[in-house]
Amino acid sequence: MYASSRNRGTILILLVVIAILAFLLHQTNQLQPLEDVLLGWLQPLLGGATRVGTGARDVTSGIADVNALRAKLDELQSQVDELSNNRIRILELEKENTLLRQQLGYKQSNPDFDLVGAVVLERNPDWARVIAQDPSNLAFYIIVDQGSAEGVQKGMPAVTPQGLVGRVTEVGTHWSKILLIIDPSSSVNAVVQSTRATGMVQGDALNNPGDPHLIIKYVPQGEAIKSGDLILTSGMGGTYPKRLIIGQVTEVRKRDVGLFQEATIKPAVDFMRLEFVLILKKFTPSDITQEPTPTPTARPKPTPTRTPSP
Amino acid sequence: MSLWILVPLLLLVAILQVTWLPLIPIFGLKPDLALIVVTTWGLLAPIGEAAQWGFVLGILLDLNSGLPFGVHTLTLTIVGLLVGLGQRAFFRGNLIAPPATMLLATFFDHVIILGFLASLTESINWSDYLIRITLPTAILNTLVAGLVFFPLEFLYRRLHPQIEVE
Repeated sequence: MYASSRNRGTILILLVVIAILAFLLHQTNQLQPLEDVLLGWLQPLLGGATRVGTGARDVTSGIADVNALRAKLDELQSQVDELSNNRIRILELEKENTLLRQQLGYKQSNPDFDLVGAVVLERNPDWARVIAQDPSNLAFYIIVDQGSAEGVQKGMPAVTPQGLVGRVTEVGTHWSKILLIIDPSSSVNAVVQSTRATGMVQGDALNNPGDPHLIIKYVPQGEAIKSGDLILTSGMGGTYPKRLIIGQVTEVRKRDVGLFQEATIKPAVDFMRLEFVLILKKFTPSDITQEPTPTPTARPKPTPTRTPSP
Repeated sequence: MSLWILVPLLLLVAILQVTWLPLIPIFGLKPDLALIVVTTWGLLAPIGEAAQWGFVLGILLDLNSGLPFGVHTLTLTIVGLLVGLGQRAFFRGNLIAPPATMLLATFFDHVIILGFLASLTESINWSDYLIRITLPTAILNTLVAGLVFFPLEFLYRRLHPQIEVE
């Protein structure tokens, strides 16, 4: 394989040029077919290796009794998740009820307005298996085994029953790359469930890569936000549907000077043990032009206009 | 080296990097096995071989990375090339060379990747990345490199017996 020393320099320069060319072609999407073929070949190996690795981890982490306990724990955890989701849904319905009453009052006091609102969330019933993770500690992506052939498209959100995982950034025929919300480049428009205060959730995996957290920023100083508050997607910007659980506030930071406060959030999803995700193939994005105009009965709240970067 | 040995070996390294190592993080970080292999081979083998390993490994990693395609290929090729050159000029026979090279290679690799990220995304908090991710990763890589060095040295002796005689 190796050339003589006379040609070695030429070959090395050629390799660097090819690498730069590959980068440029990728940026213009012209490398997609080749990536698709290569990753298609690799996919069975990756899936197999991940299954073996996960299996080995499970075996080495305990004996049979521990596995039985783990199964029981999983069952209880799923019940807790279900109850938590129910509780959150009830709280959301209460809030929605209050909001709708306000809107109804607004509509009745403005009979000449034609108002309509709807929320539809359709989830893909097929689980996407996580087959690989980004090789670098500098980026937080996963690769799943569903792609354009299964109807996955760029920008679709990925979730688990526990909460929001991230969004699809790249799609092949039978694979997709998902940017996790813990990545520092990720940002999600969010709302504090108890107060409806809005903010921007950004990844903060750099702080503690072993237990990655998130930060909610741009929450106005006047808004009440406390430890234990649930943070949900606000649906603004249309990237994510409304009311997906992002996490729970663990610490609030306020400064005497400054317009905004920020808080640390523990993600609802355990990103260190992510094996399957659901990809939301279809949902009706929240249209901010349909948000109710603040009325004297509804407390006005400033909203950030920044949308997540693609 | 025969492609029949090289390609499966590098494929195995890449698959381990993206499937197994994320399952067993150490303080949340995974060692850069590909970078360790390229750097170590650069210390052992003639100039250019490690760069070619880096090129092949980089392509395999780029396929499995959310970062723009070519970033890992470029960084690993350059790291392989520089380590090969450094090995000839400064490092040969120096005990400090392997750990020092690993530390430098990790910083170099991360700085290039961060440079790409900074040019493509809004902004990069360099100090956060370098202190919280790069520094611990460099230390982790250096420790793991100690384990990888001997198997690779064994492989090198098997593949280059004539050079060892010299």
